[in-house]
Amino acid sequence: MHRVFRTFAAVGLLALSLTGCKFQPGWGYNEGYAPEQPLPFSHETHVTKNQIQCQYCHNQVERSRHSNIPALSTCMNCHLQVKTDSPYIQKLREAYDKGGSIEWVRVHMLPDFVAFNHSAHIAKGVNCQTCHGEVEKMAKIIQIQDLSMGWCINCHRQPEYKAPLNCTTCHH
Amino acid sequence: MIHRNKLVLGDKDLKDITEDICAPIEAYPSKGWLGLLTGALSIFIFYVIILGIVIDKGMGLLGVNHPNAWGTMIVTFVFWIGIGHAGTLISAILFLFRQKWRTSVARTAEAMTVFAVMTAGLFPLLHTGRPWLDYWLFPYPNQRGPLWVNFRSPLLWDVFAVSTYATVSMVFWYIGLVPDFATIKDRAKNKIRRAVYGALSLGWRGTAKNWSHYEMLYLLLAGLSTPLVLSVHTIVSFDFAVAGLPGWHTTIFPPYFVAGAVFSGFAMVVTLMSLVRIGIPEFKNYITLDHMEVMNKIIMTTGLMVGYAYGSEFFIAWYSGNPYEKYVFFVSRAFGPYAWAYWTMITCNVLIPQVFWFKKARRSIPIMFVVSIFVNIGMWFERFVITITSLSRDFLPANWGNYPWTFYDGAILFGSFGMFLTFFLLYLRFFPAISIAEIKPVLPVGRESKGVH
Amino acid sequence: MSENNHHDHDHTQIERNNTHWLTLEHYNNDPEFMKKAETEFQSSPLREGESENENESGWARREFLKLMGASLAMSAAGCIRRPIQKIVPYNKQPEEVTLGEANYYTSSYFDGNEGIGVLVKTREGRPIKIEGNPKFPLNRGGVSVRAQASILSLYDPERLQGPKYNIFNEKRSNKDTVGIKWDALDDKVVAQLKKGSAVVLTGNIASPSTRAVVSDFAQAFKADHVSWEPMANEEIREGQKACYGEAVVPQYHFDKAKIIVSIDADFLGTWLSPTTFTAQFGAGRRDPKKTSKLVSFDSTYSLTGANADIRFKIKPSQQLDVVMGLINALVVNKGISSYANNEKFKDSLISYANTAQKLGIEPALFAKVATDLWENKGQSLVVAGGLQTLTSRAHELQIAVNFLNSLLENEGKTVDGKNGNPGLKASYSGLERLIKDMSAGKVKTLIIHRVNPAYSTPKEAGFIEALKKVDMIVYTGDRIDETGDHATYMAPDNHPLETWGDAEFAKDVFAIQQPAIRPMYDTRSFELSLMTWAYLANVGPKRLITFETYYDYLRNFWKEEIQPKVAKSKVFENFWSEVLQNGYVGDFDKTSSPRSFKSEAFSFIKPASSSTGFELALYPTIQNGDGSSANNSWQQELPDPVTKIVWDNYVCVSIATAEKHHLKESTLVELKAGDKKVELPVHIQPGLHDEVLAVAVGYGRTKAGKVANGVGQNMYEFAGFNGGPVFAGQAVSLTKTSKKYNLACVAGNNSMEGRLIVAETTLKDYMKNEHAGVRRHKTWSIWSGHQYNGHKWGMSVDLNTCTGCSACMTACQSENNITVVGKTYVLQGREMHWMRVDRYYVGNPADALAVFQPVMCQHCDNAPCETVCPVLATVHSDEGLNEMVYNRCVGTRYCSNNCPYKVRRFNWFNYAKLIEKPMHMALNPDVTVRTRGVMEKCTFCVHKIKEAKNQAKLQDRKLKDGDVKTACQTACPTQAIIFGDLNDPESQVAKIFKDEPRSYALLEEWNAAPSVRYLSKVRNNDKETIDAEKGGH
Repeated sequence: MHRVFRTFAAVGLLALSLTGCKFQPGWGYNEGYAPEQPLPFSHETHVTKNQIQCQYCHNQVERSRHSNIPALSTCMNCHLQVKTDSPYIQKLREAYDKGGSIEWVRVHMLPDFVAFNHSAHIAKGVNCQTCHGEVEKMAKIIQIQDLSMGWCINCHRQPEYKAPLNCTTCHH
Repeated sequence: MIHRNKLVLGDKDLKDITEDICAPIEAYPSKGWLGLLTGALSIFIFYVIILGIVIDKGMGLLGVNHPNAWGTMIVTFVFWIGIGHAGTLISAILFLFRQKWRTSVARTAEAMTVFAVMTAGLFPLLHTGRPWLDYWLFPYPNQRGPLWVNFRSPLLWDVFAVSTYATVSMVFWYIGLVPDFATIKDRAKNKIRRAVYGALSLGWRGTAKNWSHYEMLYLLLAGLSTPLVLSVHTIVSFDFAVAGLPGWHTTIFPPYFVAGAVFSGFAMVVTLMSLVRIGIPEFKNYITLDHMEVMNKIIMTTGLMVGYAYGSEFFIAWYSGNPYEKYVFFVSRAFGPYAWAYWTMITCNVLIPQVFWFKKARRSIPIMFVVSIFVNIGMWFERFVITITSLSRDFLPANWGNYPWTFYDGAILFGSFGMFLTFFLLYLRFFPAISIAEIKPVLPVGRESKGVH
Repeated sequence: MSENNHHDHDHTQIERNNTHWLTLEHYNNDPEFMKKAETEFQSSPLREGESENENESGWARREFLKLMGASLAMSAAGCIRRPIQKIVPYNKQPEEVTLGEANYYTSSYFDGNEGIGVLVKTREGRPIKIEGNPKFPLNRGGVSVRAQASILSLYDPERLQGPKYNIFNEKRSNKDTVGIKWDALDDKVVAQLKKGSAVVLTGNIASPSTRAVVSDFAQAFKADHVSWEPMANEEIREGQKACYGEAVVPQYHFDKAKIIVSIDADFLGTWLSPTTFTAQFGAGRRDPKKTSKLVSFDSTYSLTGANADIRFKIKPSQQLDVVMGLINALVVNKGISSYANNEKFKDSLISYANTAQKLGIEPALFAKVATDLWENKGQSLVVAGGLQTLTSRAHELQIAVNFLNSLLENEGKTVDGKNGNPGLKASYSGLERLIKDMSAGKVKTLIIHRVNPAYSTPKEAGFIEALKKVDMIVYTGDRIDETGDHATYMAPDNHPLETWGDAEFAKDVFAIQQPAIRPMYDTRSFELSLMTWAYLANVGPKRLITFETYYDYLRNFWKEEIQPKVAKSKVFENFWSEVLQNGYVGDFDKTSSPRSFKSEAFSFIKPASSSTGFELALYPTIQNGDGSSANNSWQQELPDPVTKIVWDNYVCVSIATAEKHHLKESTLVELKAGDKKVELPVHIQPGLHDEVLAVAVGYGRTKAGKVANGVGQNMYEFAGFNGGPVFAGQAVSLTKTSKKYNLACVAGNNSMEGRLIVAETTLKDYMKNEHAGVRRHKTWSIWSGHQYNGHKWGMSVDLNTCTGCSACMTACQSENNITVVGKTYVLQGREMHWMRVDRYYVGNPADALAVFQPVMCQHCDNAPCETVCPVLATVHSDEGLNEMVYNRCVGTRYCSNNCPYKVRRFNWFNYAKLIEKPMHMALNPDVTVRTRGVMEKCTFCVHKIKEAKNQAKLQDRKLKDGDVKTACQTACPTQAIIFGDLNDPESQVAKIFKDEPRSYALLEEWNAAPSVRYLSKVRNNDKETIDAEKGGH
């Protein structure tokens, strides 16, 4: 009879482990995602070393839902003079002159049915760091939060933020 | 003391009983059985394919539309759930009332319950727009905040009610089977049978300890499943009663649905039993005409209850003075585009069962078979009428629209029978269709005069 | 798993990623996998914005199916890998583009008759919606169905992507279409043009500068310019000419009229500029106490008839009788005006003495109409016109109408002939001449622009035969359609949204047309084509050949011709930027003065004649108009405002006729007139004259494209053409066939079944009691209800000004990415419109009146849908919105069952898959595209609410009334829909909810406590109570 029970147990465990991934936090999210970028752009160099404000490049973040990736023209403002000998800058220059662009790999991504608005959060005084981590210290951008709904809700639930909790705040 | 008819005919002794009941399991399957199984199985496979297509392409393949957002699947779901009820009623309630006659029919009735619930259980899951997300219907910890289910929704109550019902009746049925499995194991000639039935009998030894545990557990389960007989269909009826539609939003629904369920359930039992009696002649000694007659009486009684419910709906509709209610009953149902369905229902459920006033009819297998079939049809239509007539003609006339029945509607209704029958036939072949352990104690019933003990 | 699971050095450099690997294949950089990983999810709303311009990759980005697939995967399977997406920033940041923020450009829309000012909404350089320009003096912010739908034709996948050359065989019976370069085409065309005797055939041209280009061109090549439209207004111009000397289409002012009598002029639906007229009409009815009265003599069941306070059913041959009857009633019976003692004049009226009896109208009723007209003289308006009036006596009708207006001193007040519409010059006589010349071989080159004569001319006209005698035909259409089929060269014109232009919809009121997107394909504007050809031939006026682009020509034209007229003093640059800002310049409400009526014109009118038997009445529809833009699924799936049928045209017959001939809805019948035959399904139309068979034109396209081909029958061919077009009054015979053809009708039932759904009362009752017609209910609940501390959104819909024009439906469709499902599924009741306009008939079926009711999600406080959803996919917001969360919905559809208003729509299949490239560019990025198996419904444009709130926050101010306007509200020409915050006591909607006696909630007794309230309809029909128990049939 023990044989019998062992079989049952085995089946049960298997079933559990199959559904398991639903129950463990972190699964299906991309905390710690840090892909190689076409150019090794370092926020550390630009922000910490050279003291450039976030909004200098991400200049639309205060008035748009999107925080824009700067146009090549923005990079060129400096890099026409600065570090022109670096092969990477040359690559950039080349793309710029050809009227082309750079295909950055996207790091922070929300599903299509989530409407996140940067400007609203900036206006509320949320730092970039709260969600993006200490970007100024990052040589390579890495996702430090899991960006799950639960994670968003956690802040929105804090009474001191007076943040809306309606579904349509993000989904419409 | 009153004289009682024998529950087991043909002067069987204990050995015969075992022999008779094990015969179908141990003998080589008959041509008839094989034929039936191939038939049922092919329908079942067809069913699976159809469901596959529907899941792949979308619910749009069925007739469901705007405003009739529910259709065949829900109708058939309620139909099968209803069928299930007789089983639990017979096995649990009659057991608690110590109705000895139940023993010979209980097992098969329970089997029917289990299979019916399995068949029914599929529908609510498959009729959603995105079946692959059905697990959202269950409350489980998640990363969305967490985001819970809506405990106010009758559909959620349904999820619990049906799953509980399925589990309990399955356990109840299985526990009852354990001693018989042991018997079969002991009689088994070859290794595999021994192994399989051995495993199924969970190492039953038949010791006094075993028996006392068994009896206690069985009693407890009977007690546990009794309320379920009432709760399940009550809650299923809430799906409709809690909604605000004219023709749905009525307090009579719970008792009305339960009565209807028992009604259809017993009809199905009669249908199957008549078939079993034909298929396995030996069983005539155990499933006697007396059994059938009792069930026919129940059919007629519950039939009258259902009829009363139909009537009272009309009365309330008129008495409430609610124009929408009035329209649904006095215009839409009785004389509207679905009048044909309505009157089919009335004929099958209220008029036809009246033949059981006559003892002859009650005791004639052909008649009761035909009647039971009609009742099954009628009960399907009852659910169809309730669902569609209310949805298709509700508040704003501009929304009205009929239900465009498609091939897939038919295929799914038809196929579900394939699923049910396949399971049932396999059951007849591999499980003892009558409880050996329980039939033996009732052997003396009706023989007291001869003083056999 | 893959074969080469050892390091593949090509990839290790770029793609190797130790911190986060997805599958073993990925870890080992299996090249196959790498390719997949990169390409599988190329689309992203962000990259959308970042892209440099709308190029191939640009489109590839928004593959909605994939996106939804992604979202699905996201929400469904727990253990998934991240789709790799790329972000491609601009090369140079364009000034005006802020990613994720919409830009609006003023422009104008012209469909051949109607012209309106619009705002084009663009996102990241993609036009996504067309709204009315609130500043524009004609439509005043209102917009028409077709104007909004024109956004789809911009993205129509079947548009020509460049010039084409049709190589014909000898008999021109067969052809071979090849691509051709513009310069090659130009050379050929110029060479041909030099041979002389060229003709330019265009439709009405609203644009003054285009008119200039065309006349310059004609001058350059000694070419003729013929202007023709299927819906030409020649009869009006000729009538005006005969009566007042000048051939012009006047301006009408329906807002200044206290009583309006329309004889088959469907001015609320399809006649001239319906949107403008609807706006004026609405203004005249906003306050029921001062409401105007609309009397309609209707031979089809037009939208105007459906909105009439008093509607008389007539047949086309009786139109003249009506007007003459009224004249008779005034002049002879009442002895009004100098004509009263002009015996000769009176004699001419004798045959019209007893019109009322002839029309089967109660004489008293008819006399009352005349009296009302007279009592409101100078403030009344009589109109007749449109296809429905193109009988053999159309000319006489116009003269009679003009006479009546002059008699009633409406001249220069409600009818303004001095500031008429200069754009409408099209004429059938011109076409007739052209056909003669062509058949005589007098035309060597024919340039066809913006009309499709091969489709929309009567068979009898024999246009196609004549066409074969022309050496070279150059067609500027955007596809090889019925006419393009005969064209030698296709020189595709830009879509209006791709090109500069201007318009003059009223004398000296000039509108601008701005391009909102760079031409998507290798197309060239018609004007530039003409300029180029003149330039290459080096002939014609200087301005024609000096400018390089039409834009330069246009600006110069405005500088030299237009500015001097309207704003001499200003610096041109300022003037120009002002025009671009406002979208127009000039004054519409100019004072005018009456013109004197030439009494001799009256002698044209012959005595009354009478006819029996069926008369054909052809009419255009709101959704399809003349059929030129028929290849547009939004138009085809928009229910006809009156019949509520989609995707077809059909014969409307009266109930009596149907009974007489044993016809059922959608039985096929055969219509015969002379040698012309056509088979059409029957639609039984209440309130139709028993001797009228009404059929819509604009259907039966054969070469328009996937959407329109084979939808209905082409009734233009059926029209008569003997010395002028005959669209009405043609004698036809009807024979029943045994066949059936299903019509897809979205109206479940024509009658309210005695329920109080559309509250209606008569003016008399309303004057006595402002609550008249509304049934109040005492409702109570044991639940205290929701608390709304911030905003509480609400909407009111005025059923008295709503005309049922359905512009709101299209607006909603465009704003919220609502898909079309096609006829098959509409037949099954699967239409997806979030907002529908219910139409009920009231009164006795034989001459039923109609009422309209827009129904959208009512956002109930006690929402029945919310309690029954098992997964909380539809919930209540703290601002009173009933929220629908698509990504949470599993699709049990219980909410729809439990919704008493049945406003929820379900995605039965994956409709997103049907969105064909580049159609997806018309989608609104702010609204999720719904996947299969989820419920959807009106959201009160919650994304717009969010946007407005966010803007207010960024500008650090409170949200004020009017900041949020829903899509339906902005589109409504009569401003019948008002949306706002109920918690703001100053808001318009709050006031209406609080103290408007006409306001009531739909199914109030059901106590769902909706956030939408309707204002009862007041019918100005001199009756004490609304006739008949709301029974209908």
